[in-house]
Amino acid sequence: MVTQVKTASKHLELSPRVQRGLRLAQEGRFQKKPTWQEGLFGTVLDAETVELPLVKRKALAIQKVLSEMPVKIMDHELVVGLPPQNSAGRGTVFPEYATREEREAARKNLTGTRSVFAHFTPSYPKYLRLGLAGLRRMAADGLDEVRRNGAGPEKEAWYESVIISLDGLGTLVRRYAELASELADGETDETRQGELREIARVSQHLLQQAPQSFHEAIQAVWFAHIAFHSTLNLLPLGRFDQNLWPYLKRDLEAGAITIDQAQDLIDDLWLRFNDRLQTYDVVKDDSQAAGRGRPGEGLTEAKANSIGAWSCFLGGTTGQDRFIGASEYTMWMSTMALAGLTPEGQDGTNPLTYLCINATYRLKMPQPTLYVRFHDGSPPELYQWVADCIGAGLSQPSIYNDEVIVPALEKAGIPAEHARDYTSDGCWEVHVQGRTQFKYAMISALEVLDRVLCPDRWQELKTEVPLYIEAMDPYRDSKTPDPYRFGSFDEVMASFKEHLDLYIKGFVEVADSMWDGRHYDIAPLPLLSAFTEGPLESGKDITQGGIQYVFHTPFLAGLSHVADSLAVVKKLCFEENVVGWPELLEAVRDNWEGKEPLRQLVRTRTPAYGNDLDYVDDIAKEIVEYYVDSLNRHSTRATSQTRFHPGVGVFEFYILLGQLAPASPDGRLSGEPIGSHAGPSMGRGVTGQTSAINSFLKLPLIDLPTGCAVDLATDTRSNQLLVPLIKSFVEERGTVLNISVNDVETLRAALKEPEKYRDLKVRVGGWEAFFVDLPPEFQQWQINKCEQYGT
Amino acid sequence: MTCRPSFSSGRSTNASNMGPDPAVRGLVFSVDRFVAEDGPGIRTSVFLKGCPLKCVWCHSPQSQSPQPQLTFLSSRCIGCGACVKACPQDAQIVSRAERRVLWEKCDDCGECAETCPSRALEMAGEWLSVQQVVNLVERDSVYYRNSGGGVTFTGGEPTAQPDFLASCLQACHDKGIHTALDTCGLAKWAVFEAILPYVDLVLYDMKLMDCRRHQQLAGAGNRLISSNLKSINERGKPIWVRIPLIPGYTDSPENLQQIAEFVSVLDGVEKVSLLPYNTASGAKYLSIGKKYALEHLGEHPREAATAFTEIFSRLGLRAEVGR
Repeated sequence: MVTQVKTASKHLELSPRVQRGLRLAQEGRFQKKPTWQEGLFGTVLDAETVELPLVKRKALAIQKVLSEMPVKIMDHELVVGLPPQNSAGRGTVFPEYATREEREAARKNLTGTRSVFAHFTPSYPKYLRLGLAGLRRMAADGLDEVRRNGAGPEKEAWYESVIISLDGLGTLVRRYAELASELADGETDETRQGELREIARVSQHLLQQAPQSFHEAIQAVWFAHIAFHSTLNLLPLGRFDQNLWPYLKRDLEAGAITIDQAQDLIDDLWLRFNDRLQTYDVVKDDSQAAGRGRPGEGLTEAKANSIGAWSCFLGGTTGQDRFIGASEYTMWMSTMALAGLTPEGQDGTNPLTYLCINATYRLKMPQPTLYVRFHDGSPPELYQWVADCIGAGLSQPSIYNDEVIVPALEKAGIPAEHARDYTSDGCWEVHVQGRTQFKYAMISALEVLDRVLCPDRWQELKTEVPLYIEAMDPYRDSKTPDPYRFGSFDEVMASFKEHLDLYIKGFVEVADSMWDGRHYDIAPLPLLSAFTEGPLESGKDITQGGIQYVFHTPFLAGLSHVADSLAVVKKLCFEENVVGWPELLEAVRDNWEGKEPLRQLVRTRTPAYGNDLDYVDDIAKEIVEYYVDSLNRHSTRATSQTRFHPGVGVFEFYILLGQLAPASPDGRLSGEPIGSHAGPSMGRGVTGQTSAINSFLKLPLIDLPTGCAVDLATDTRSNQLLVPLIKSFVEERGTVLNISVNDVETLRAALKEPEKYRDLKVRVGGWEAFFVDLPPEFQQWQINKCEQYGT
Repeated sequence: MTCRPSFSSGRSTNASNMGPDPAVRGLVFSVDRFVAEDGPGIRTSVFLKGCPLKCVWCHSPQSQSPQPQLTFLSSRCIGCGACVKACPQDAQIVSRAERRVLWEKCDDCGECAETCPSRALEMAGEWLSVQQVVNLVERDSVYYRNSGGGVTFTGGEPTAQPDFLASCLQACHDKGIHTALDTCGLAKWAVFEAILPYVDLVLYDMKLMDCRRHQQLAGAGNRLISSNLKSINERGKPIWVRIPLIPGYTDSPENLQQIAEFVSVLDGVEKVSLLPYNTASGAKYLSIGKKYALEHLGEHPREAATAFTEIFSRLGLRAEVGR
């Protein structure tokens, strides 16, 4: 037993290996990296395979990618595995496995081969416990059983598909074992030769057995991570420090590893996440050619599918399978949640927690994106480590509060031991590790409001847009009252609620109806299913509802703008009669054209959300309460297993949703970006970071089990205040907090001389990025955010 | 680190017809939250308007007058001309070529600010009741508790509104909120005597030890300032001395040495902060129709400021460069 584990040290020097890797990763950002091109893997369809069930062909396609994707080991690496070269920005590259007829049928069902799932975690505990071989054995046992039971060829095909996919992953691991051996044979440096032999041994071990050592466990996780990211599943890491700590603990106790060696391994793993980074500049031509690189460049397509945010996230396809606005400057979804309560309710902070935070602190690279879970019993050092990391300008970790999130999940019916095992998705959305299929959609509250204020506009759009899907329009049978006839604020609010309710109802119906097997018919998940709790036991793919939980969240987006808008209506039009109601309606309809004085007036004469002013915060609260109530009400009618969890958020869609939203009564112009998550709107004077938090705390956070975040910017002057700020946030029961320490002048200087500010980091949606790597709209947004907080 | 807040959600108060009732109301020109510089921990700084000094380097000129005062920020002006119609003094000019206030005509009546849609024209200073101030301050209590922070009354010179200040301090103190007073020290001792029981920390500005220069450059001598500091020290209050480093004015080694010698014998002085000169004040002067006399001065290199701390640490004082 180890009585005292030496803890991570901020002063420990980076090993020469890590220094070398870091240098390469830094330089690599400015070089164009190879990206898989469409058609690279060809097809798995031939005269023979075309007769197989689709799920088997999908498995063959997974196997094909994992057997053919490039493998590479660099001189400085201990944890090996070339990061995926798929491109979220341009759509992902994958072998063709569906026939034309199948694809046609899918399209009619609003799905496709790329209707893939991301944003939730595999069960790494299960995978680490059983190993690849153990998972395969489970699948083989399942296959035996369905054969014995005569459950039918379909079930057999599914289990066979799982085995094919797992064998594909096995092939990838074997290729690394072989490559490492081969390199070892030719290696003249004795030390490196020893390392390469060890890499080969670790990989070989993983083929046969479950991981035993810390090194084996890390390598196992990384192989799985790159396999998923290369086969259409962009997944986060889950509770990394909780899942891996038993392995490190055992090694430390046995004296097989020192804490400094463990740090070196973690540092090395962290570098792998960053090997893919590229600045927007070097990839923009490709992205633009594909029409997807920048938000807005996919806009025509989004609009063409139907209208507004409704279609962008729901109408045309099934949700997060279309990465509009994505780019290739990052490796998506690589988040992890550290520390927090164990399923048994104890504090889970451990030495590995600190090694992870330290790696981020030392390397100053944006990935992986860390979330740290706090609760009332979190150790003081954890606060300090997190504050130091944020204070160093890394914009991470983000803060989770177990004291709200766990009870919120419990309130939503999740048992305590699962609720306590929550983790981050690709951003901060909360789900239960390894047991949940998480999906999201966006409800643009500004779009809903505009339906109330300018109903005619939407009628016109409907006839204009060729691909508009009438059947999915949530407002198809509704009659919007003439807004000019509203005589009181209450009528406006009631109409907004009515429209929000229709939207939510429409969302629940669509999302619910998608669970009729249509995803299984075109995009089943044989590999991922094996890695989660439920499918292997039940013989059902994730897409058939085989996983324990399905969470689906229609995020309420644009809250601050709608709250501010309704405050204008209430105060200026109906309380003080300073602005005529028809005048305001016309101004909004005309995008404030020729009405600049009025636009300025509404911005300066009404309280704005985020300033701790009850007048408008109460409106925000009322909106969220209604949203929660409506979603909970409609979800009782859902027939699928889906749990519809409320959440408030915007993510990096502040640009895109802004572009899709017409002008609003808060003085926002058509197309202007919207504010982030549950934070204030841009340009509405903020009286201090604490007031932004206080406004946020007034929302019914306990009723938002998927979460709700507030983004803050501060500058280095406040570094010594970060610990108490985070403590207060936890104590006052905030949910998710992001803090960026950035100075607005520095950001401006970085725009002018990017080469001097290569290391500057900012928070984008739910992850981190280098400021100079971002597209221009995102850079401007960051500057606006800092200006708002006066940093 | 904030923008200008709007304290009330209503229209700005019109000073002319809502005169001050000193017992319960005071003239406040800003309330900033999450402030890191005005004392320990997370603080709310309440800026009271009016100051008996007229320092040539004042970085907050709109804080000097004890009355609400018109400010004009041309960057916000959209040229709508509403002010021209509103102004009873014909002091507003809006044309294609220019946009300016005829300050010599302006009597700070606030009519233009009332109509200005973009708040390019705005009144600095709003009459707030003690209750309003306390309500605002109280909102961040949890942050104060976790950080050892609290409220700081600053200005202007807060003691220039003695009754309002005393009531605010007492009300906050009674609620268990840590209170700091940021003062230039120029007030009758009786004022300090009345408020000190409710003050947990005194931030005391020291500028020049030479009385004549003080008179010349700050508009008043420093004898009372010095004696008040001694008396505050005798009352056993913790004191943080703050010294603005104004190049060519306050930053001579002799002056700093004299200040150091003076405060080093005061056992209540916990630390000395040297505040580097703020070059960004010019725009504030412009906004109230004045010209900044020290426009030409450059900023102190931080290293130079750091070197000055030596003078204080040699005498056993804790000294730091502030912001």
